[in-house]
Amino acid sequence: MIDPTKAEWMDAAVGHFTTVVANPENASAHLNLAIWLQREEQWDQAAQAYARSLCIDPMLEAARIGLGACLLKLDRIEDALEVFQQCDDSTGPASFGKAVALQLLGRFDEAAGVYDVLLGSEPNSPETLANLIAMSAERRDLEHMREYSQKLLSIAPQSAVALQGLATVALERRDNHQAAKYCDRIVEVAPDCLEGWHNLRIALDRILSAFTASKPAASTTGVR
Amino acid sequence: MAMVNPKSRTVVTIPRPKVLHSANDSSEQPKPYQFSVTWETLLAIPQPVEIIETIPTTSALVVVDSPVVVAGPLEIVPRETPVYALQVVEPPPRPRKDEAAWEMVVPKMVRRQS
Repeated sequence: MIDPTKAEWMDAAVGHFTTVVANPENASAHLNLAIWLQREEQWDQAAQAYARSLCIDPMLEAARIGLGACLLKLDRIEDALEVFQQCDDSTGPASFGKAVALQLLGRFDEAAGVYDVLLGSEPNSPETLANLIAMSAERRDLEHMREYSQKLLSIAPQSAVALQGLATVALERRDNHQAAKYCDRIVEVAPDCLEGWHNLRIALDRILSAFTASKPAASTTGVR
Repeated sequence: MAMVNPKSRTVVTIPRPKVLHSANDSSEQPKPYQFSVTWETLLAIPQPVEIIETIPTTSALVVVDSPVVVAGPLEIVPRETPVYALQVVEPPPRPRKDEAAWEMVVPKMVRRQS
């Protein structure tokens, strides 16, 4: 007996491929096949189908964005950047793809410029802010990391990325009480985060050490 | 923040924070968090589109004589009603029984006199 899920999958596959065979010059047929392949995480085949769709209709922006996203997945970052740069928009998804590609290529200044424009049009994009936090971490830019993390936390209070950003800044600056507070929330929202547990212990140890170091003087005063 | 598919991310690990310590400071160091670059937004964008059947480019158009439809005014233009006249056509008189004798006439070639 055939698994119903597998049967549905087979139906979908046959349907998409049959449509493409019946309409070889139809860009939409290739686009739909590409979308289906992408959802099946067949990145290479999806990229090829997107490319065929674009050959037929070069104005199909959805195909261009899909192709760029698949190329990012295939770690063909330079190719992805070239695809995204062919799009006209300066604040849309293609622009976001361009920023991601630049960031992955280590061209941080260019990426920051594109992200700035994106934030101007959509200031509350969690993914843009999360990527900016990652870029701040790579650039060791603690001030921007704090800024983006606070912004992300204000729109997504359970964001582990935002809490990790703030914890990193606090640990780096030896603000141990803040570090302990953020690490405590990290292990609450992401119990599998081993770094969170480790850093919580570090922050508490530091607080305890500081308390112990100040205690003898206080005890002496107390005895007296 | 929503959980993301780990397959769709590239992990960028930040360097370990450089903290100045004294020579006898044997305390453990914080572990750097793993920050990632994601592009889930891009992967969520495309939606299937309706397919409109296309004429294959290998086929040829055949021009045939056919009525041409011409766009015209929407109002109905009254037509002139043709006037029909009743015409009675008498059938040829049938031969009677006693006249029902048939004669075969064979055409023959006749030289024309000049």
